[in-house]
Amino acid sequence: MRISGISRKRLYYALALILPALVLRLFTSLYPVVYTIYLAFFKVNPIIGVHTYAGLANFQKMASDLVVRESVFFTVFFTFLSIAFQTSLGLLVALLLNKRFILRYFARTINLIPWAIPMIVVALGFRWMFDSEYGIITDVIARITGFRFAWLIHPWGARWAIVLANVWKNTPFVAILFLAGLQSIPLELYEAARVDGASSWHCFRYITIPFLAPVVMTTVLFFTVWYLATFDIVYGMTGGGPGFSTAIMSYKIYQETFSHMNFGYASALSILLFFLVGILGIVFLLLSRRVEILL
Amino acid sequence: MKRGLWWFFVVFACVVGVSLSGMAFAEEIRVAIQSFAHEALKPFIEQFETQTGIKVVLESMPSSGTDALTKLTTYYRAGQSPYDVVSDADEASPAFARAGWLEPLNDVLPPDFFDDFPPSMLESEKVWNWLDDKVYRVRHSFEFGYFFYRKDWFDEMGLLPPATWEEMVDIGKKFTAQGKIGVEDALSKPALLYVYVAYLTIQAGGNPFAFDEGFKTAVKFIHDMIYEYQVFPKEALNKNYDQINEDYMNDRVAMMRQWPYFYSVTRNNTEWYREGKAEIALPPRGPVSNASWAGGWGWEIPKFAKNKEGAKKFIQFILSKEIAPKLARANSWFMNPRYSVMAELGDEGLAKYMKWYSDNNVPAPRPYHPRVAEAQNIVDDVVSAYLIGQMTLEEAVEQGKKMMAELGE
Repeated sequence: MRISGISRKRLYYALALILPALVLRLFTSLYPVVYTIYLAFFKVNPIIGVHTYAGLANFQKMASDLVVRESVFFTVFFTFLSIAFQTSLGLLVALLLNKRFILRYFARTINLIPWAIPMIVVALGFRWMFDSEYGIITDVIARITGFRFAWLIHPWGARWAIVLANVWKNTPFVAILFLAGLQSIPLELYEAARVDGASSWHCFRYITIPFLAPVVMTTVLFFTVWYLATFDIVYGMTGGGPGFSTAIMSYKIYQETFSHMNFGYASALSILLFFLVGILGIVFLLLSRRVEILL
Repeated sequence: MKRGLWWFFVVFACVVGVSLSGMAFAEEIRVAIQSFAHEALKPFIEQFETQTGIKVVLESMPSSGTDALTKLTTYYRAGQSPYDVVSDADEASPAFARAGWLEPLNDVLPPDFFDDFPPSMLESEKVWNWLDDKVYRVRHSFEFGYFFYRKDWFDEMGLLPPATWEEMVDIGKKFTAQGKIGVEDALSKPALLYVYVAYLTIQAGGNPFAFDEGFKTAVKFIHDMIYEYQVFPKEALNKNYDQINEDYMNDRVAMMRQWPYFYSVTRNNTEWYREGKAEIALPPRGPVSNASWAGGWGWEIPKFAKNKEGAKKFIQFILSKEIAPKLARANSWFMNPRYSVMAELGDEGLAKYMKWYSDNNVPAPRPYHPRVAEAQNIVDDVVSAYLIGQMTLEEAVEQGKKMMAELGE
């Protein structure tokens, strides 16, 4: 298709206007990615003045690094459990907030308060709340059960504490997304179903879930990618401890980059995280299509 | 369209102009130091500004060495520095010097400057702050952990402060029998666990980075204090200094190693403090000594500072024998055993204890490694894993040695 003289001018004008933003975007996105891939094959450490080609040495080091193995495990554990809990609880909260009751708009507003608190503040707050001596959570459980559990010094206790704190923080946002989805479902479908004698469960199973499925899938995918790169909650609550039990990939990358200045190794770890995100994302997309078909 | 294009370039030029105008500055220097030291510095800054005509803008630095390392690495790696003078930590400064990111200070300091330093401090300066005979940092604080104890409780029970590890355990058991904590320190990651491990390792005659017999003795002792003697709370594995200070000032702890700032914290807690509640004794002796390793923060000039000449004048001023002692009197963050400082402080407050510890050869060199932040993390990781049962002691030592070997230059 031939472009007329005037159209060509308009095209050039449009390109000139978007060029600065495009260059900035490429520079801040593409350049770091390419440079990270480049660094991953080098041993780079300014402390010892090293910048030499290392081939696959950084990736081989990852395979034998105990902290990396623990980090991958906890990253996946944290992601899957957080997603599972916040999706279930978020749906429950959304269903409640979708009901008609007095002060429901107020309830919808205060529901978002946890999500509005910065994550590092949440992490430090929960660090105190899970404290074995001063923590309110520990104290309430002790009063009910008679058992005082030292959450943050027990590997599995620390892992679950981080998951629970994360779920508390992010469930409200998930609930709001699901609520928006619920409100887009035509009410006539429910009315027609009731006329046909459908129970509440049937309405939920055959109307609510199928219509909400795309929102749920998108939310789960979004949070999966987000949680795989989580850093602040682990940094604030446990620093990766006790031992290596809550070591997480992004925290390990941060340590290698900013504390150890092993830029090459940190870049290799970043690529590992990238593949982890990519693989889980693809698996999830394939699963979501199957689920949509089934529904 | 031509008008639209014309307006686009006008707006673009305005944006660029505003941005560039922000870069113009008068003669000033930006000095970064922890915010709790700002008030004490202000009168001296006014004096400096009057003398030199250079304006000083105070900025905040983190209080943790690893946080300082994180903050500054980002800038220095990019060849920039938002500050002209920085109060920097032991974890960060040697790394920056080796990376070539700091300005040498040799031409800033008078020839007899280091005559004011006692041998123990000078030795530590040479290890941590000098590289190839060039001085890259000079410490303004040089501190070691003090052994705080509840003298009021000890007096009630007719006890004297423990002289050895064994006595500390015996006394600790007496207090745990009363539902109190015998001995406590912060054992959380990152870095705090390393502090206590290094403290005990030196007393056991070892080097924490070598994972030697002294290290094994020290780490096993911590393990036994928690699980066998039960004088040390397991909960400390996730406690930071704020939390153990809370424990102490909630009348729960009998003995605790802590940094000098805790002396001021307790005395400033006027609702709680009474004489005898937070006294200082010599550290209990381990198998080899009762040493307490010394480290600190110091002044440096980044290579990428915008106003190096102004920065050098500031360093010369703030470290001088005239100013440094007065600054130490104003805030303990500037306290160190320089002769001029000790002469100024006399026997007041913490200076009395600093002298007492020095006279008893308590201060010991901080364990050094060229990649100290990484080495400390290795110690933190393996000891934490051992203390919670993820590894045996032998596995922790083996893993630590392997990781340390991989650091090799």
